[in-house]
Amino acid sequence: MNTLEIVSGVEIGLIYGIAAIGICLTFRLIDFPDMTCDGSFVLGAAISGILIKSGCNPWLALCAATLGGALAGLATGIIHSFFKISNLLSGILTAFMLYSINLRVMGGVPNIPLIGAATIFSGASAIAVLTCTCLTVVAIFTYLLATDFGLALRSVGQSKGVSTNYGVNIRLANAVALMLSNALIGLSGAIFNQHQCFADISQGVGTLVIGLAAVMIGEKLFPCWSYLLIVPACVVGSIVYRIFIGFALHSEILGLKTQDLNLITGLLIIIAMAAPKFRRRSC
Amino acid sequence: MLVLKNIGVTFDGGTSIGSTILNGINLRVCGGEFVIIIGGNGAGKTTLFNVISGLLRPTTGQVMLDGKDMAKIPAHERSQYVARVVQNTMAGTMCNLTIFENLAFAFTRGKRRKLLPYSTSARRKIFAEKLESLGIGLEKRMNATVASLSGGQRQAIGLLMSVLAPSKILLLDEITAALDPKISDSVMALANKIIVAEGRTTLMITHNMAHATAYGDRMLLLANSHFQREFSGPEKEALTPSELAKVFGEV
Ligand SMILES: Nc1ncnc2c1ncn2[C@@H]1O[C@H](COP(=O)(O)OP(=O)(O)O)[C@@H](O)[C@H]1O
Ligand SMILES: [Mg+2]
Repeated sequence: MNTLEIVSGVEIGLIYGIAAIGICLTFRLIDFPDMTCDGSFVLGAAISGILIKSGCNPWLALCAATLGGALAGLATGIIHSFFKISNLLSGILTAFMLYSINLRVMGGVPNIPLIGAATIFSGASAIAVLTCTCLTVVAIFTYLLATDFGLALRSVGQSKGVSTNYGVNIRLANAVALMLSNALIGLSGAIFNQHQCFADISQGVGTLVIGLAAVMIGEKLFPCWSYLLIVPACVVGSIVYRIFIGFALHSEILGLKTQDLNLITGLLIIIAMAAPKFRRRSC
Repeated sequence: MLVLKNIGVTFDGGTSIGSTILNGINLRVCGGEFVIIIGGNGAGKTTLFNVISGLLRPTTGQVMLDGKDMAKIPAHERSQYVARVVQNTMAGTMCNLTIFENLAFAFTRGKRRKLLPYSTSARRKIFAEKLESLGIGLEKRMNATVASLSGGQRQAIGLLMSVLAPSKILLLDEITAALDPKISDSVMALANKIIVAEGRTTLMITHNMAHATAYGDRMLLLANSHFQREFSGPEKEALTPSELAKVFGEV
């Protein structure tokens, strides 16, 4: 693996790190296995792609994609709380329906190339832009978790009984967390879109698993779960995941090819989950 | 003041008859009063607490708190008035969070949870004082997770959490049932200390007959779906263990 490949790995790691924060919010914080992500990632990419193509300001395109992701999360929240459909199925249904919506957003074509269009990376160092964006997101969400509001969200994932007794509206908390989560995933999709200079209807496949891998690696690296480390751990986990995958695919001895990516990722998650459970230590 | 008017609860359970758990429950609890409720297993005591806290809508009757119909208050607002501690020592606290985080969360019961840091030095100071008043040394372990505490310590934290914010009524449901006798007595003494010192209007369910007779202003026996007997303070204090066993036996 040469320097260029490592830098590119870190860049992709930073982009997916934002999605990983979103996945951590649902899977870990409120204990809601949200399957919306594969759809909301493409939604973000599609919104950004179509806006960039029509000459919109690339930062504005990111905001629009973030909003789009939030709406996708809201849809899952509504399907779950008001139609009483299980959390798993609610997300699967939203992601399924998003396929049609994403194609509509993309104007009926499965692919939008953005060669030569102005993006957030135009005339700037990609790694610098990504680092700043990621740091901003990490700062916002670390702060959020350190507030009374964030503590209420965490309570939902800890104990629904305590949450209810202490006046948390669980439906509302779920909906808010789903919106925040998918907003981040949409943002991540939009940044990916601008970084790769194309939008594709199948871009989102595997977002969930990759994000989950990042979250789990982050947890192993920072086993002391201080609430201040939950969010940065996702981004660090995502970068480490990319570098690990990069080395695995490039090592001559293993003889692995790009198509083995899913297999390696899956095995990585299984190993991470099978490894002895850690307890959150007092620190 | 808490007023229960003709409360009835029937679970239909799919049968045509249904099972009537509560029927014709009437009760008036004045401000600052501490009322003990006893009754056999499955008598409907927890169900009654679910009705009072608004978790369960009664089939008939009304729950009035200071003249307000609880059914007409939205759920999250009811938590402002009702504080509750449950029997299961694992269910009253959040195990994976620290003592401080649990207390900070409980501190905001009934208030709007804002986008302001929950960890403030003012709160640390308040919680340290409250923990110190428990007298079990937990003030030095504020950053320990609740999972690392013993059952008795956890229940003491659950109790403290319930009284951190003001309440119109405090509901204690067999809070010492899962503890060994000695710890059980000290948690009960602690609860009584808090209730008396703060003048909390309290309803307490207990299976511990020593606690039932020693604490509280009066005692009610829930049997056959309603309050079958009432014992005033002096009456219940005069009860000997064998007489009390007989009261239970008659049910
Ligand atoms: N949601 C429910 N649906 C049907 N039956 C219930 C429900 N909740 C409680 N019950 C029944 O009501 C009875 C009283 O339960 P409970 O109030 O928990 O008794 P206890 O006095 O021991 O606290 C039990 O027989 C229980 O099976
Ligand atoms: Mg009970």
